Amino acid sequence: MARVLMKGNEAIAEAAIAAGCRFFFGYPITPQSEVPEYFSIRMPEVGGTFVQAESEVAAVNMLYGAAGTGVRAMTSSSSPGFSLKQEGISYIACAEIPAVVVNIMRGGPGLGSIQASQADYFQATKGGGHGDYRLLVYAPASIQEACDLMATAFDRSQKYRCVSMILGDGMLGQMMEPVEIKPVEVKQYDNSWATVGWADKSRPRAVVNSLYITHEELGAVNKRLQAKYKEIAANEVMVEEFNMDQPEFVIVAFGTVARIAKNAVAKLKEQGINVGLIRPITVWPFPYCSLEKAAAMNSVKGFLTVEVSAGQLVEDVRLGVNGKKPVELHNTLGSVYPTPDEIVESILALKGRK
Amino acid sequence: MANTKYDILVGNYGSGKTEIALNFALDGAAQGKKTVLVDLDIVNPYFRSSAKRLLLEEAGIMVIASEFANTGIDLPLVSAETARIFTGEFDYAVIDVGGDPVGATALGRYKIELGKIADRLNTNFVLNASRPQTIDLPAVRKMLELIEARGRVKMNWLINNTNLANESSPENLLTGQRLVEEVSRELDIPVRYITGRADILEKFRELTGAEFKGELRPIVMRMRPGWQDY
Repeated sequence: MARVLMKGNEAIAEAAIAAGCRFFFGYPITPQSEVPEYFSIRMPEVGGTFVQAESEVAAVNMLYGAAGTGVRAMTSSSSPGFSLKQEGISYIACAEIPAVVVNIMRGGPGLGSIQASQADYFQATKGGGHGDYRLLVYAPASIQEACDLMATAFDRSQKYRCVSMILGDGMLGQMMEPVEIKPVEVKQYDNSWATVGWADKSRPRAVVNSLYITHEELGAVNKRLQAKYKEIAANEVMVEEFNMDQPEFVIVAFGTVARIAKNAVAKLKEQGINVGLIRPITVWPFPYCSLEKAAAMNSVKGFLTVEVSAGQLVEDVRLGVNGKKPVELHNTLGSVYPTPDEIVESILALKGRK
Repeated sequence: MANTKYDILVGNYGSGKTEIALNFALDGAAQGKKTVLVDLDIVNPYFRSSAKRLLLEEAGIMVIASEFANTGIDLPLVSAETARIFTGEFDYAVIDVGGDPVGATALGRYKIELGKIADRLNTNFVLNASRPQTIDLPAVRKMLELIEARGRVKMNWLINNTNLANESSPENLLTGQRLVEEVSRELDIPVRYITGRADILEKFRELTGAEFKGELRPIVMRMRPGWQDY
């Protein structure tokens, strides 16, 4: 497919179709409504199914049911709507059903605002719903990366039988960029667990379930889940390390904010100040090792976390740096996005400090 | 008194209506025309022309938009003040309509008013051939006819604004030109402008040997955040 100009939300939907997704269940909410809108047009064209559910809760449970048959299925929403899906996501995680979810973040808490935000970081990376489970969370910084990661998200959800998430902000959903939707080789994994009928009795009965009556059973399920998350954490970390050759300071940011920060890095370079950028592409598992490595560099005097939330990403940065260097926060609230110049100012302030 | 000229811009999401609307309005004001820009978008929550209100007002342009445009809520509202563009107090009115047929629906409400000023009205269909929804003749025809139906207005101009944002090129524009001229022949709507960055238009002129329909009109891009280059 030639390069075309697409809105983030449209491209996310088209990339999901390219990755083999044929079932979408959703409910409109700004700024992600173009995702269901686009699927409603495209799914019938590719023999897929689009359902506008009566609510987010219904949509996520439709996803649970469809994905339980082993097909590639997804749902999407934005912050308040995504909160509504949490119970269902916890069930899907416990039942070890592969599924993909998309959150195009807007301002919060509460109904908040339709304007973009990054304040669902904790929700995405630290659980969200109840119980000990994790999502494999990808945080793209461009529309092309969102498309490419969509293929990865579907593949890994099937591979690990886990829930993968694309975590974007309203900026990513609403902006337009040139993009190429690349063909995806859809790899088939064992799906003997899927509930697709039991007529020939050739395998054990497949059951989709998240209720365990005995301590022993629930304990075993949790142990299995934790082992799986450990494996994911060991194998699936993705990170971009930008301008990390002996930097004086290191900025940490994800998604669109990391792109704003890259402009600041370039501007600082013009002033003769060498600043690196660590951009987590997976925010869970978090690239703690990149932070640890940077903290051990002699040239690095400190870290600056840039985020459009009250200080969420910075907690993971502090865990990675582990007290070896100062970690400062440059954040904005109320869906206001930082400018490159404001980030430059923060770095200059750090530099001026004794 | 009542001889206001009108430019209505419609098209697919991402066709570039808003950039063109800003350029039309600012050029009009620069020529000393008393100018008004109406942000009639009832669909798009972000990146709307009224987001540039300060810039426009500094140039002496009146901006009419939903009072909730660019705020934290998403309400499909049209400002009642839009009716002022028909009172004759302006020399030039630019109407930036929301994308796709759904966006054009807001325009349909002004069918009677627009009918009365038809001789001073330019209705422009903005085409970006790099958008998947308007990539060939059948797709453009469907888009244009649905916009005409929902907007209750006939198109009298085509604008070739084919671009790939920061990856725009004269070749890309030429691909769009072939399509816009095909649409022009098939639907009998003339090509008015070929829009784009001045340097791209100059190379386009060389590439085509000045053999093309429509007038080259350079535009300045103001909507795209600079950090998107990274």
